[in-house]
Amino acid sequence: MSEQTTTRTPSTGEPALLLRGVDVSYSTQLTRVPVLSGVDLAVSRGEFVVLAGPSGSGKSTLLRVLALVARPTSGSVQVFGRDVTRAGNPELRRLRSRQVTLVYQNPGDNLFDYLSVAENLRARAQLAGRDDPGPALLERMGLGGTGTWPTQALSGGQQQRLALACAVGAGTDVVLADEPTSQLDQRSAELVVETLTQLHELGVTLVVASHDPRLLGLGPRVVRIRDGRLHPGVEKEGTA
Amino acid sequence: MKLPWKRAPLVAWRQPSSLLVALFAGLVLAFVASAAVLHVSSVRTGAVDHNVSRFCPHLRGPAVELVPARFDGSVAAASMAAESAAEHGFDGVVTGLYTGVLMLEFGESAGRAKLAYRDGLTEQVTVSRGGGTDGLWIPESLAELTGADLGDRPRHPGLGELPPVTAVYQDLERTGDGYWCSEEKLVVPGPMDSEWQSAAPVFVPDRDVLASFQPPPAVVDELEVQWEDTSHATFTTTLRFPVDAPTTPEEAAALHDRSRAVVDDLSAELAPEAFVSRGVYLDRSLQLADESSRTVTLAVLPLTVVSLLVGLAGMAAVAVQWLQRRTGEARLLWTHGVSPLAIGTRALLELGVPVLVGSAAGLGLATLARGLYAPSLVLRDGVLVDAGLAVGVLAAASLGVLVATVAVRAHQLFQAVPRERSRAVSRLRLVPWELATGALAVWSGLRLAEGALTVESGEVLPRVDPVALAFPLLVVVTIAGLTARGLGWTLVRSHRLSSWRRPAFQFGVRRLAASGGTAVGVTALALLAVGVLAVGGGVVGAQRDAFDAKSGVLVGAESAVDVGNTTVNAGQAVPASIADRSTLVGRSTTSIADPPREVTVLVVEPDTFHRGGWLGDRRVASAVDEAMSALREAEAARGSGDTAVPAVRVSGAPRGEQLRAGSGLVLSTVGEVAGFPGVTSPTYVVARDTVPSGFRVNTWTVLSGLPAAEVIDGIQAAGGWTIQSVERTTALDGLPFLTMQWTFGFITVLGTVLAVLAITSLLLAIEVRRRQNALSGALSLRMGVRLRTLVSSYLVELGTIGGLAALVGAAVGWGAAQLAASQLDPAPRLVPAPAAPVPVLFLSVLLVATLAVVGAATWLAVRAVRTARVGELIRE
Ligand SMILES: Nc1ncnc2c1ncn2[C@@H]1O[C@H](COP(=O)(O)OP(=O)(O)OP(=O)(O)O)[C@@H](O)[C@H]1O
Ligand SMILES: [Mg+2]
Repeated sequence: MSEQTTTRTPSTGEPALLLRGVDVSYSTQLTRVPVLSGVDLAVSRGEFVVLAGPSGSGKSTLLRVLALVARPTSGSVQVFGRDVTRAGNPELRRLRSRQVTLVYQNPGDNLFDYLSVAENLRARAQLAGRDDPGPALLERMGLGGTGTWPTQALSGGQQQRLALACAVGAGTDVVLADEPTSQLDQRSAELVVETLTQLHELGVTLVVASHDPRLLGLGPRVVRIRDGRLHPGVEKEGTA
Repeated sequence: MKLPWKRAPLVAWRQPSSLLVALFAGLVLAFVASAAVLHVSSVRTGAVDHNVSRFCPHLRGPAVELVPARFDGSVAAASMAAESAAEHGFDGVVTGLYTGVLMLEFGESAGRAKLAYRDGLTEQVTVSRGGGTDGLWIPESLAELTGADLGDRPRHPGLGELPPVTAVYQDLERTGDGYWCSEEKLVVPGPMDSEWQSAAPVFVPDRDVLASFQPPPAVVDELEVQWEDTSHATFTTTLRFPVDAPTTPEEAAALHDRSRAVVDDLSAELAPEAFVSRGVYLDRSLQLADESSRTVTLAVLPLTVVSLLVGLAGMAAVAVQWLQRRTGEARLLWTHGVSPLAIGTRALLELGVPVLVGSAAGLGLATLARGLYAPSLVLRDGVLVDAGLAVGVLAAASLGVLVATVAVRAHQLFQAVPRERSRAVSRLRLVPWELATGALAVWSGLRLAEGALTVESGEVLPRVDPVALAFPLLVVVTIAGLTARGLGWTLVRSHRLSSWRRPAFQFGVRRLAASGGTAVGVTALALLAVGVLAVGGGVVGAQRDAFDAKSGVLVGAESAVDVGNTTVNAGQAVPASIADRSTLVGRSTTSIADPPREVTVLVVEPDTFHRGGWLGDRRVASAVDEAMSALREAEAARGSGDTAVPAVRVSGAPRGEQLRAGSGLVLSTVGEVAGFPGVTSPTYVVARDTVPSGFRVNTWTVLSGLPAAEVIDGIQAAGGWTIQSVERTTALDGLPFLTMQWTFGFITVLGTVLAVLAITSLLLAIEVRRRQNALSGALSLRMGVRLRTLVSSYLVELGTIGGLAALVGAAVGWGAAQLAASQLDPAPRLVPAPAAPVPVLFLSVLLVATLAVVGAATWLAVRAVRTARVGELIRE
């Protein structure tokens, strides 16, 4: 493992992510639609959390709040012990570029389609203010030899892999993935599960929205969400 | 530079349509800006050109006339002038020397003449016999009058015996051009001149011979003796400085300065009392050019600024469209912590180059196409730099707008609290902006009604009220806004149009309704374009026609040649060779007693007037018809004992049954018309046959549709005399009309740009909806809709847009131009007032263009349907 990817935020015992009383609602022309209500969630450093819930239950919304991509309507958000509820946009941007990476459901949404595989890696590192992690990382993430390929030449699973590799290359501590296997075939999904395991082993804090049994099989903490509320009662079932 | 930015310029090529749009936006903006600069700058050039072409070639430089006390003085002045001319870069000086009118005796008979000399004169007269340069050259008129011929030696009481006649030359005419132009007053007797004021010159080709006539100083000292005996003692001296016409205002200003310097030199060295006149005609030309340019600038500048602001808004739309197409990438960048401003610079790197290339192309196009709009093709020094600067500033502003718009929109899209804005926007949409422009239109309409042009006496150019000038455009903008709102409102409710059972209509209207904003926007834009073009064309046409009509009324015909002043019964007639295109009118100034007023009596021949009189304007022609039939009827009804002469009053002459005019003339008004060819003051038009035979006509004039030269030839060939001539095309100074034409000509440029924009956005809108159209069209075809129905439905959809824009735009534009045109009268003292001509050509072009655009757009849409593969479309 290279020097860069091991320099993580020093451990202080606080959770990596902490939500308290988070509400999110969308206002339409007629009414306000609550999507998340009273969500409390703590994710420790290096923890692997799977977010499960029916369609429309608010998984993606919750991930966006965790990824500092959306602000909650009320409640507070802490990242590594720092309250960012009222942080300015520049600070959120800095956190997003260096510490928290959101991986979207659609593989194409996570990559610059006009850059080659290696260039994507370099571009993401540049955005985080880091040096190019180089072909070694690709090799390690099982993408060896694809460096000069255009991203479209990769399978969906390889694309999601590359997206996760980019997060590693950028040295982010937290990776949030929204149903990363849902649009993939069997083989591709396995690649992603494998990569997520790798990330977990690297000590990356992972929150993944998914129903994929292969993921649940890795033994993460499962958080269930329904109608915008977390169900603490059922939360334990998953860990069992 | 980070990779996504570094690669941006290349990435742009993946979406050539975005590049094209950006390039086009840059082009249009730069075109408008540089066209405005070139246009305004060339107004000064055009005005200088126009003015310089109106004065004699020899009067472009300094114009000096003096009467030194003695001949030596003239010679001295000429050499001084030559020196000064050389010093200030003139090629030389042409000196003319003219005595007063002398009585020359040829044996028994005698005739009046001036003795004259001018540098190079022998090349400039047509010799009919003889040609030796050591004697006198006498005009044919004098030879005929006195019977003098080659070899005869005239005598003069003061000068004694003069040298022999060595040539007879053809009398000079007023041509308003060439070598004699500047001397016409001195060498061609005027019709109203008294006999001692002017006479044709007897030329002395050798200046030294002329010097020998100089009487001893004693005679000069006794100037009191008798005018006609001593008038040979002084020489009116003209100093002319031939020079090429300046082509730019800068050249004109330089020439003006050099000319001033020469005039100042001469003024410093010659006794002030010696000067008849000295000055520089260019003075006034430059001043007029400045005024003309100021007027046009005043009118064009606000309009250009508004257009450019709208253009920058268009640039913002390009930016919004870019963000829409690249939302995915923008979101990715933003998710990874890139600021909205940096996303803006990402857009800049993609679109900046095409915008800059487009700007350069716009500057180039405006320069190349200036022949189509600018008053002059000549580029002033540095004007391209000015235009380039304007384009540069604008390009910088465009790039700024691109970055700022993308940044702001990205901010709103990704990080702003969402709900505040949409409400504000939906409220903004409800504000009736047309009311604001409507109120402005009313305001400017009121100012227009008070008079948009104020013509001060003595001024050539009218003062212009720019607010009033904006009236027709404001009307068009307001109507475009109202139409857009009305169309939008109708489309929202179009589902109620259940009475339209035909599927083609249903499809077409449904599609229109679905595209909503786009259809409304394109319609408004196209309507605006058509309206602005109609306004520009209408006012320009009105000014052009008004200039023609007013100069026609001023002169009375294409050419007017004064032929004498005899009594009505003296048998004055038009020679047969030109009779079929000419008529004779006689003019007398007289006064009537009650009310006391100076009036003109215009004697016409009702049966021939239409052959020569100017009938080029519909209103004037019908006035002539009316007047002639009134005169004929009155003449027929007249008893033999009636002494009152039937008269048609024109231009505010008093009405009355028995108006007593001078020389025993009694007029009785039998009709009244607003204007009549050749009439510019209160006048009674009377028929020649009804006027008492002893009535003296001050001037007989041949009015003709032929050029003056042909008329003069015809008259002279028939043995008649001609005194002076005027031609319609040069009689009236066109500069005030041109100034208005230049102003609205630029509006036509803007209209053209709008039209190009409207057409492009229509085609683009169809191209953008291509997949959607293709899918729904292809599905409809599969569901059994016939292709013909589909084509008709597109024709309904696009025809509604095109038809609405063309019809409403043309009607409103022409109507507004009509309202404005009559108030924009640079010469209100001359009838008729300007009126926008029925734009036959414009309407035909509009019709063809509308059909072509609707046809092309339909073809584009239907082609997409026919080539669509439904399976692929659905999967994508
Ligand atoms: N921008 C928005 N405006 C209005 N409502 C929204 C918006 N985004 C999401 N919603 C609503 O919020 C609710 C939760 O959406 P979310 O995407 O978080 O659910 P999800 O659990 O991710 O569902 P899925 O499994 O389908 O992805 C849904 O009812 C959705 O309709
Ligand atoms: Mg989701």
